[in-house]
Amino acid sequence: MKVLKLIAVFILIAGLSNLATVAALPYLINAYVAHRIADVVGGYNKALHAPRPDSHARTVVRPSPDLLYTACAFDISEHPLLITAPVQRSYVSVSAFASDTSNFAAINDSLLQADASGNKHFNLVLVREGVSVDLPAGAQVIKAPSDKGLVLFRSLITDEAQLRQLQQDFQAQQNCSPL
Amino acid sequence: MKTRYWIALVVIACLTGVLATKPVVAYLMNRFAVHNGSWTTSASTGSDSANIYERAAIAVAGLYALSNKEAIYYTAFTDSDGQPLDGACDYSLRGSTLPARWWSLTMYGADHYLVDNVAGIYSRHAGNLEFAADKSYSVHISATAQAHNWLPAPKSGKFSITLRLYNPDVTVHENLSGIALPVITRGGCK
Repeated sequence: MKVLKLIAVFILIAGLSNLATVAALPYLINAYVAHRIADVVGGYNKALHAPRPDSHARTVVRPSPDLLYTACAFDISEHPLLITAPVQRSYVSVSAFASDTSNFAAINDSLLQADASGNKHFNLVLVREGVSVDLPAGAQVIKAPSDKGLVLFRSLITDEAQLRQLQQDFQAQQNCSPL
Repeated sequence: MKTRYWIALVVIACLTGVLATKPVVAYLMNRFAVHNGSWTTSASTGSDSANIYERAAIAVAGLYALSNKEAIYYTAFTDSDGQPLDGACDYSLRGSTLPARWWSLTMYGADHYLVDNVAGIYSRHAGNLEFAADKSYSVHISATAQAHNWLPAPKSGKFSITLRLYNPDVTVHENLSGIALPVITRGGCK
């Protein structure tokens, strides 16, 4: 009987420990990656224009070699985040991830309205849920479920010959900054 | 029972729980996964509806994956016979154009990173595939250079292939386990 009691206690504690580890894992991994990105660019709410992923890329697992990534580790506990970028002629998206790594927003070029000259732009404001903000003209608001997280731009490379131009004319203009 | 024995039991139980994370997450992910031939996916990747085990698995092996509304990710760890994909073997991957705005097939090593190769080829997609007249394609997966549609594999060890479907058609959402996906067939092994 005493042995059965010990086994039951062991299983219960091991189960709770496993549950806590599994629940904490996404938060820990996101915090680690966001911290590394913030370290590279000198703080949160700044854009990191990553080189095209290749076999040496180690920041994030399973990157796509066909996309250019721009990452922005955000902290909107004090100020909303302004996210801006011009839009290329192929797939480009802005996605936002909460501190538990869930993807709470994804907006791609096909969802944007063209301006009078026919060009499209990302003009987004990321703000914590429940916080009101005065939006800049033409800006679209995204409500975040956590103060910290990550914003990712994904730009599709459709033409190898145009890679440098895509990096200079579009990726380099992808930006995030406190509003 | 002495206090020190209880402390030892609690510590060992906690460590067991932590160490069991990887196999438990892998097991439950496989149970929750949607299967389509060699390929598996999840209907709740990246979304709020993902449970803690799915979220943990994505954080480890697919961090910052987009939700299914934006992209669907299928991954193959096995060939069409259910055998693990292995760098010691060659494979052919045959399929046809997929119903999405853009799609790609990317090779990853056992460490979930891109596989180093002399040609600098990491993926195949509509932009760099050679298609047959009927719009089908055959990708040659091998550690040795191939003349056409080569997707370099690691020289040894397990690998996996991720099929990305960006802005997939509604037919994909409606039939994750039934849409026609490429078939991976094993050839010779070293």
